Amino acid sequence: MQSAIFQCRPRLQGLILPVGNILTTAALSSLSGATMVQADQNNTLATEPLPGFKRLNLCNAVNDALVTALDTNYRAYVFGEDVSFGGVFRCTVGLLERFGKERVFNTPLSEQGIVGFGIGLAAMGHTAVAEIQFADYIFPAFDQFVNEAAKYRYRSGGSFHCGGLTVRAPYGAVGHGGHYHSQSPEAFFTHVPGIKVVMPSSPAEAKGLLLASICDPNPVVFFEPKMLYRTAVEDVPEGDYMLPLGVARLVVEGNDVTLVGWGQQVLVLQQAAAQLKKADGISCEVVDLRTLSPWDSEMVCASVSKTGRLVVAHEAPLTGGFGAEVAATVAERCFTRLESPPVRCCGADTPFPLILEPVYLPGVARVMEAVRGVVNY
Amino acid sequence: MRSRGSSAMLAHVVKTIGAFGQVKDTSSATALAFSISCDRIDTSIRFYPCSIGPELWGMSLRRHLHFCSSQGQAAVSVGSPSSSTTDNFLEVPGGRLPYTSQLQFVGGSETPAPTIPCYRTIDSTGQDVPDAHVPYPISQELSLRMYTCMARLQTMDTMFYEAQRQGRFSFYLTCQGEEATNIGSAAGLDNKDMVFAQYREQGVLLWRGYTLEQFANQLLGNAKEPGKGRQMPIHYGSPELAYQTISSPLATQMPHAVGAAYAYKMDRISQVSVVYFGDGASSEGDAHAAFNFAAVLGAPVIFICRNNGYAISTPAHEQYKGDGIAGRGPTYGIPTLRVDGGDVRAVYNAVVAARARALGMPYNSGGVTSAPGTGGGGLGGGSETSLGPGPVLLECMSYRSGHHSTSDDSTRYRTSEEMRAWRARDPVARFRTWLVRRGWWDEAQEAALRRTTRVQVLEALDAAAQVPKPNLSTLFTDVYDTMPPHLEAQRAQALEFVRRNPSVCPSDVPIE
Repeated sequence: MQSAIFQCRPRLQGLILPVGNILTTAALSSLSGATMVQADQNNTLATEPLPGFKRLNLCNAVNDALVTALDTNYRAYVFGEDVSFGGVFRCTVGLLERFGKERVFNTPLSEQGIVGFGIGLAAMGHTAVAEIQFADYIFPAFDQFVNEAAKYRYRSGGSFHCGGLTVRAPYGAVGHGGHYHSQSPEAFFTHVPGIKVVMPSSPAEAKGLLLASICDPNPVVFFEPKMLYRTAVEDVPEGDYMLPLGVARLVVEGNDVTLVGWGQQVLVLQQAAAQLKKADGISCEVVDLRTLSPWDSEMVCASVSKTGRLVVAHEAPLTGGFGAEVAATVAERCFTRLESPPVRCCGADTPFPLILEPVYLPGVARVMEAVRGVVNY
Repeated sequence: MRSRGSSAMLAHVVKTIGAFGQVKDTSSATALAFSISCDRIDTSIRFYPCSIGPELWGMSLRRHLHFCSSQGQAAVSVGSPSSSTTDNFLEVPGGRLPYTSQLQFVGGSETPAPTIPCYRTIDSTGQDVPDAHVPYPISQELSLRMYTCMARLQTMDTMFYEAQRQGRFSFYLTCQGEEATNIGSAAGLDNKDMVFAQYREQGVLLWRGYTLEQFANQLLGNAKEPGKGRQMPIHYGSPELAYQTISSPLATQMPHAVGAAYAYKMDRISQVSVVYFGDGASSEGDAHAAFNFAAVLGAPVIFICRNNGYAISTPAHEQYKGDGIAGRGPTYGIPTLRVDGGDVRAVYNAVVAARARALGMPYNSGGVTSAPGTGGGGLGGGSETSLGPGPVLLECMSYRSGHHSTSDDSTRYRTSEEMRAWRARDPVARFRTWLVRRGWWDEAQEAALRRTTRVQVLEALDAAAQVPKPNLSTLFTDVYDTMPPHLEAQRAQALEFVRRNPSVCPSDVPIE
């Protein structure tokens, strides 16, 4: 069985990016998130993008990553429902015109078919970037993820693998999505050894993490925060780069409490941190996990050992959510350093509501209250 | 996953936009709608009661309007009647459909589709069927290769089954009654065609050169088997022989085979992928997805259904109501052939032809052609096709003579009369009769082959039993390509725990 022949992308793990643009990890981590725009906040971007950067929203950043992936590997494909015309979220605009219909194509409407087909392509050493239209519809493919993709390498003793598979799906609250256009199913997937779960929180994060996911020789499910597709704008490095998987990002440094989140929740944590600083003088350390499986427990435990307090937040329902994994690990490993019990601030244990979405979500106000609770414990 | 009411929505928007631009008919409204800025469209959508957000609807709507205006069509008909009554066809995005003015159901028990007949060239008593069409005749050499493989397969199965009964390993299943399907199909393929099997295709492995030792290693789960003792017996795999590792869930391998075929097509390699599955597995959703994807994407995959009449205890008439699995192929747009799975020559011919067809190459549908062999070649005159690559479906009809597995007692759900009748048509005996009639095989050779095989199987089992089991650390390897920190930690913990409590670990597992 042949393995894919594709260019190895430079990894930003303390290295300087040699391709095209000069970029240090320090510069990148200070950019990701820090210069993001939201619809209801003042524009904090500089007037002009930095040299070697493009000002992109998250959907364009994903598009940029897909262009790069298809450009640098002739055995890479993008497929799924409606990807040909550009996708319902426009993430695949222009790919068909540029790379042709053998490499960018619509599939019939079947998620189990999409993922199963992708596994087969990847098992032959090709790079399959599959799209599931909404994370809410990923479940017909769950058997293919759990029983096939995740076990492909292990059960064959490494004789075969489907590492070239990456499955992208928009997830999360969007303001009007209701039960079936808002779900966050990451916890189901973190429970399966053998696949990786990656969730970016900003445009620059999305491009680098998606390129890393596509390049990673393990099957990856990549949940994109759909609320941020258009509302998040950031200076994104031009050219080809990767961000490391399995490594969390320190978004804001602080001393009093560690706030852990991922995807679009990170922005909520940043806003809560800013308001808590102003109103209460509480110094929050904000951590973006980026990869949930395998997750950077070292970094989180080091942070909580410093601050003594943990609030982990996610949109997915409280019970059985990934926050439980983080809280349990922290309780086990940081027990003697804790000033208060680890706390989870999450979606309610209900299906995702339409009208009552603001009440369901762990928004800024609820996060702030949780933080005050642990600080005043 | 579309919301309902899309055409009503469309009508509302076009009407609203029509009011803005004061246009009278729908096609002008459509053109106008497309030229209006997207804000206007979003505004009109916003007031339409709908649970999907404006942004999502705007996308679908703009696309629809763009499509309609580029086709010169009205987006929606709001009351104006069709101008033509002389049209003979209905043109829809799916194609061109003739009309009928008769209300007549097709399919179902009153008006069933014709049953697809079963191709065979050797009858159940081992005689040539007169005037049978054999586009790829089998030489003496190939016939004997196929026969000896079928006989070895039969003996190997019997002995491994017995060995499980004696407790040498935990599980086994035979392919008794399906030796012709296994060997005939394997012989008709190229040895590099990637095989995605279900679990009853050990004959394909045997044909390609998997040794008895390799079978025995996997059954005993020792350190020599590539799966490292992780899966139950019979979950073989071999990258060298282009045979994907077996997994227990049924039909999951079917979409994989389609993806693999697409990979061959993209690499411009003249190989096909082959997927075996049973009558039961074909009921799974993955089967439907695989058929449909293969047809739509033109993937060069051969679907080989082993219809052996049973899915554990469930007979075929409780599995489907239509014309088996072959009956489904044409409705997906897949060229289909039903074959007597007990006639190894028919199976061989079917697979050679299917392979050529899958590659979009001419396949012989009349007259003799060049030498058959391990398949791949043998493309002579006959029908010229300039079709592209695409799937082919073969349904091989046979009978599962043995129990489903060593965990099953099939006398509880079927009669001994039925089983006896089918044993009388045993494909191995049938082909042997055919060979003996030609003077190509005799009893002495038969006895020698069986004796040798029995000895070899026993030797293989004994040798496999001497090999140690995989070591403890292999519990944690191959989950990912490299071992992440949390697994390193778990491995260290497990080793340390087992060193202190050795009785927890099987005694033949090295603690390292």
